Amino acid sequence: MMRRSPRLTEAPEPMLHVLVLAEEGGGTRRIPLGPAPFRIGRVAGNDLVLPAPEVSRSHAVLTVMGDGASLADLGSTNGTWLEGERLGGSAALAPGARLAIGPFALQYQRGRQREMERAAELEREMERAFRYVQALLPPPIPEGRVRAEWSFLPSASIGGDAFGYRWLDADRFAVFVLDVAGHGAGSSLLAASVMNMLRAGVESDPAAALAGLNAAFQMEQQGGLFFTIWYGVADLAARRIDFAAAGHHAGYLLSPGAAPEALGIRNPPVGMVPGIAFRTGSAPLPPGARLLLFSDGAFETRAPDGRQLGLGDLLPHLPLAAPPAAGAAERLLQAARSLCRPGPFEDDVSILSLDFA
Amino acid sequence: MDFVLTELDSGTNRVSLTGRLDAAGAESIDRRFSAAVGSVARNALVDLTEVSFVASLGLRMFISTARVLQRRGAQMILFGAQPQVMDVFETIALDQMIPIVATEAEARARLAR
Repeated sequence: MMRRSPRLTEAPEPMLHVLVLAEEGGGTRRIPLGPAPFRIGRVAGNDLVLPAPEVSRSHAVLTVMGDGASLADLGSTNGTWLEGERLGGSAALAPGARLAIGPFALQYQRGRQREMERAAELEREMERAFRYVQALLPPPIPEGRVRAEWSFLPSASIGGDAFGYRWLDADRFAVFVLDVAGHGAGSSLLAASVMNMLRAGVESDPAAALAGLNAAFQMEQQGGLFFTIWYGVADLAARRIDFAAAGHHAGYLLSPGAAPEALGIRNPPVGMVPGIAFRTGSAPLPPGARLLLFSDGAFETRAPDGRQLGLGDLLPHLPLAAPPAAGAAERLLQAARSLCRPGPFEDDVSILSLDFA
Repeated sequence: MDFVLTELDSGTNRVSLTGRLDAAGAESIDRRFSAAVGSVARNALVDLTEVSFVASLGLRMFISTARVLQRRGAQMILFGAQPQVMDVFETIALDQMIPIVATEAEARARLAR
């Protein structure tokens, strides 16, 4: 129903300009921009100080002019990146433009007050949802028959990764990594629901576990969201790992003195096709084996020259994380980072490493 | 990210996409694509020749629009995917939901079946 808006008689609200900085741990900081040039650099005296060695002392400057804004690189060593391209000189900023300076991700927003309040509220929702997921992540396991460690780098804008692991009984250990195809608070909340369901279950058959999720989370009932998942159950008495993947790339088993073995099997993602039977795989689990699981955010990146990277670019680096070296998840994260151009990852990156005695 | 829709005949559109269908790319065309392709009961032959990358939000756009078309009694067929894009389709077993062929000619032949 259309009604004449009483706002028509009011003076138009002024245009607001905001720079949003993604912070460690999934939060965001909103910085209002005024009419004076806004300087960004590594050292004190800048309007925004970004403390990292990849940031130059005087790195870039943002200037608001009327209803628009422009960004200029001040001859920085490592560049100012706008929408994934290195900025040469200066450029006008579209609302929502994404910038990267060193390891920092920033977004430029502009709009009338009401729109900006709404944007801020969405960010707070996103942050709450993210904290909820983070609270559900399992702590590392430093000692025992199964040792586990992980690296998790959440993305400020996309999100949707989650993972978990736990003992099902005295000999069987279950682990999963999942990625919701969406972004925003909704994806994180779906990820949290799935984690809660898997935490409560005792399913030792991967096919049955995925069938249960598929029955509970059809995309039509989940706002069009679906997710990919890799789910495995290691049986330390039988020395075997059973697994199923739904739309998810393989996990990799690294045994002492052997080449990495892909534990992959093809099924549609969970939520896409009702009532399907998920195919499973199985592999021997030698003593000292290490299982590496990671989300696609680790390899769906772009090289410094702009080339799209894929799983095949990360796989040659897996031996870096081979047993018995410690810190496998962190090593693999560094390898992933070394392949792609400067700036933050575009998507969540989750990397898990599990050692089986 | 952009697309061009061409009417091939009374029952079929060709939709040619160009660019990276990453999160930002999918977000920028999702609504227009669903509206243009999914609002009519016409088959959609989706040309991916000029698409260098497809992320999960892009897959979601194809799948949800394909479902809408199916309910309208029409079909979506993807063709011309680059090898890297094909790898992503392979991983998620997309061919179990949407037919994927190499060329436009094969896509047309598939419709005639």
